[in-house]
Amino acid sequence: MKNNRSKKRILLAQILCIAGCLLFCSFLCGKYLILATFNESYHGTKNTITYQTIEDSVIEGDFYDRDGALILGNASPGQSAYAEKPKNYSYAWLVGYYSVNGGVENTFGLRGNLKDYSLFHLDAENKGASITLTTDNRLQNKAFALLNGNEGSITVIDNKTGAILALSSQSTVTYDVNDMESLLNSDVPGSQFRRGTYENDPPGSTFKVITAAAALKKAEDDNLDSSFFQFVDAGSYTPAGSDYVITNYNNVTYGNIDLEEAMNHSVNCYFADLGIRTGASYLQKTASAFMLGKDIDIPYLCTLHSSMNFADEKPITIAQTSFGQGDTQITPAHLCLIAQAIANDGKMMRPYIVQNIKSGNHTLYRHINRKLSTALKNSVDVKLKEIMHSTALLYGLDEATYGMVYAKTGTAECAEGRIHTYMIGFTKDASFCISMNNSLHSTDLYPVARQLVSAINEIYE
Amino acid sequence: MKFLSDLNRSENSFIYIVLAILFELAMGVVMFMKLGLDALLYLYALIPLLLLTAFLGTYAYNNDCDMRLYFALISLATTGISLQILVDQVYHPLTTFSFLKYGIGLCVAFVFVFFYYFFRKILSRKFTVYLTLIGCTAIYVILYLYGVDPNGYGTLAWIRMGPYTVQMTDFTKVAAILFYSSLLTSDENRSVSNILWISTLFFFINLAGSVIIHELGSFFILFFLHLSILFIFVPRSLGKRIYLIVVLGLCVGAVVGSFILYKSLLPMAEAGELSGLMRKAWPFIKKIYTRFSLTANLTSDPYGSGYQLLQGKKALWMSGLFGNTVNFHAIPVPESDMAFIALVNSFGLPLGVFSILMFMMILISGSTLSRNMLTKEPKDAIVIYGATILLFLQAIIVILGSCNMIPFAGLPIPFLSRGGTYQSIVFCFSGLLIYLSKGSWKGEAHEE
Repeated sequence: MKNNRSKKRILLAQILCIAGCLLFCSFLCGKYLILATFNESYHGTKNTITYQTIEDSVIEGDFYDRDGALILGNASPGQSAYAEKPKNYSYAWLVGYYSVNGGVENTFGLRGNLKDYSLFHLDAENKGASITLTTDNRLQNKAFALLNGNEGSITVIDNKTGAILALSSQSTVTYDVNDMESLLNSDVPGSQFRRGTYENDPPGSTFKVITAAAALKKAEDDNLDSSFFQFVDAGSYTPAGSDYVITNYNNVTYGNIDLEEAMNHSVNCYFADLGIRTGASYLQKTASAFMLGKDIDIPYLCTLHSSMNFADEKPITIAQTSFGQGDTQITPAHLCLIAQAIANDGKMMRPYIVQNIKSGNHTLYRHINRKLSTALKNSVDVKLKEIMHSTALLYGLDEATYGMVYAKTGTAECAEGRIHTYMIGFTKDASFCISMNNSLHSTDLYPVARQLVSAINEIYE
Repeated sequence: MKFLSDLNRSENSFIYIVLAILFELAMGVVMFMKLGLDALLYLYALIPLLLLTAFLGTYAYNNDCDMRLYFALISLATTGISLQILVDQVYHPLTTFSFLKYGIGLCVAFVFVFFYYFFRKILSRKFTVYLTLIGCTAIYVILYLYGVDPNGYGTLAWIRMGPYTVQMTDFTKVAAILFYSSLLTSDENRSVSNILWISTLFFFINLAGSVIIHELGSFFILFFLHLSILFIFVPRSLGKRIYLIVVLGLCVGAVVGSFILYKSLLPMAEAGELSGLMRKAWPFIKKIYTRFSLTANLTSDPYGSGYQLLQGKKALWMSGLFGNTVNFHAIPVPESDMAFIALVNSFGLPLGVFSILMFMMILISGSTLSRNMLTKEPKDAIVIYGATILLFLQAIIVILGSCNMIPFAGLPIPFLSRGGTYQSIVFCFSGLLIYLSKGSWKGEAHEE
């Protein structure tokens, strides 16, 4: 048999088969590996299929606090893990839920974000991986109790590491982590999000800390003397080119004051003027160094968003921003990080809440501390600490009872006439941010801060 | 110059022996990570496997055989052994993987290569075509008379020989390769129409035999072999063109006809009113309809005929980079038909893709060898092509079927699945390819 075309036909068949094989391999890897990992929709499909396959046999992994005390656990095949009182409330907004209904994935909080470990990485007994958080059960419960049912949040972060020691939230509904319906059945608008990490509001007077840092930096850079920080307060201030009149809280007039006095009494007029004299460039750089306008990722929990706007560089914009109003938007957890950066000699650490994830003896994940930003020079940081300490003393956080405490309050006027009060501060060990949504005066936070600082000191004893 | 040529050869080819050994050792590490101490079974298999690798590698190296082909065969065999050991530990199927049968399969392959060495001398004789045709018919007659169904699959493809069962339909594949080689390279100098008639007779013998013993799986592989060999090796002619178009048209028509018949006969079948020819044809019509409709919509019968493929699909979703992490072990027949799915589910998608690429390497080596042989030894070229296609096609078709990409499943995958007879046939084809690739590597190096 002589067939000169046979060679070409073999080659043709070979090329077609190779093309088919490569196409199939691409399909397999593309759909089941790459898209299933990186595409949200495909990853959801993978999780849904996996969960529906194993839901009757899987034992959800346990959640522990930093001391190894159980937060959520005791799951059995087909039965979710549960938390005992009061952790079922104090951890509810943090831990969240994971479920699949009608082929649709529902996720919230750490349980939702850690499902690949706690539900889909099983040991020989079909138990998911155990997750150790950085929180302290005593502090978390205390922080939740201090909220006393009021809408708001309390965040506590370790100064040196960025570990979140407590992140208690209270919404307009009472969420019990053992009863997912207690959250999902709520039809109150804005009730279904965690206040500490998703609530973007103006920072109020807590921003004066950043204005002060920017001014101190400018004074150092330009060799300005103390007169730069002197200001004669007349009780009102009108930025150039504007007819908007800025007044102090309760319309008080303070006369000739310096930075420390202005911070102690949270003088709006002073900081409006100081901000304008410091300049948009310094304010912008300092705010950026504190990560304002940048996203901050808290692994496995969420990403903190914030924004600020100096774009037009008009005196009125700078003035309003300088005392904490304007277009600046920030979350309470981010405010806590600002306090942490000042406490940690100007170094902001990457916040984290998951310490490690283990399956049996195998460690699947372990957090490594990382610096997020150098917010301040050491010399500026020292001066800022002095000012914040004298301010804290005025809040009743005396040295004899509470040790060295540094703090600053803030009251933000928000959209729809809401008033949002804050207190940021730190001890030698941990930083905190108390945020209350419906409290009219920041003085309401003083007793909460005292109890919180006592609780922080207790866990570090 | 000879020294330089030898040096060049060793530089190019020795690396494949090292790679094969490294792959075997790497699989050992993976097995220990997956199974812990149970992976000791792999360690027992590793000793003869390394010896075989060294023996075959030395033979291939010394005889300038195709070393890429050698590496593909060894790596697939290693993957298959690893998978079968894991399947036994995790899935606990009815039968356990037998190293003895594996060894017997290798011995059979050795004997077969020896047999081919002599048989190829009569391959071009006139009577050889009829000899293979009769041989193939005899296999079906024997199965019709003495066939058994040891696994309850509903087919009579096995015969019992004492305590052992042998799947005789696998031998029709060997007969088919020898038949086509003999038919197309016969001394008789057959016309195209004569070739088409005789091959059609062979085709119908296989079709009728497969229908009688209810084993259509093997027939489909032979069907693809039939079409591809006629397309490639029969000289260009109008008759051949019409023949191929008609056969393909009949296939499409059979599927469409089955759908129409299913829809029209369903009420009568449900009422038990079918009679005569329709009653006999109904199971086939229903099977074709079910296969195609399942591929289109897997969830149409999730706990019935779609169960196996649905479990396979779940396994694919859960497989990931290193295999599933949720202890999902609900894959039916992981040791045979769904071996690829079990492989991916157990070891991760990358190893599955690697296996497909190794089958592709077999195809490339086999096809290249066949092309090179076509002018020197056409009969060997057809045997090489047939063996290559039977290994590659069966693997790819079953893999595609188990992933629900085509409406086909239900056959073992070369190297990955267990089954004494089929393993032996796979080793026979592999041994044949290695043997016939003697001298090809050196030739290729010179060509380069």
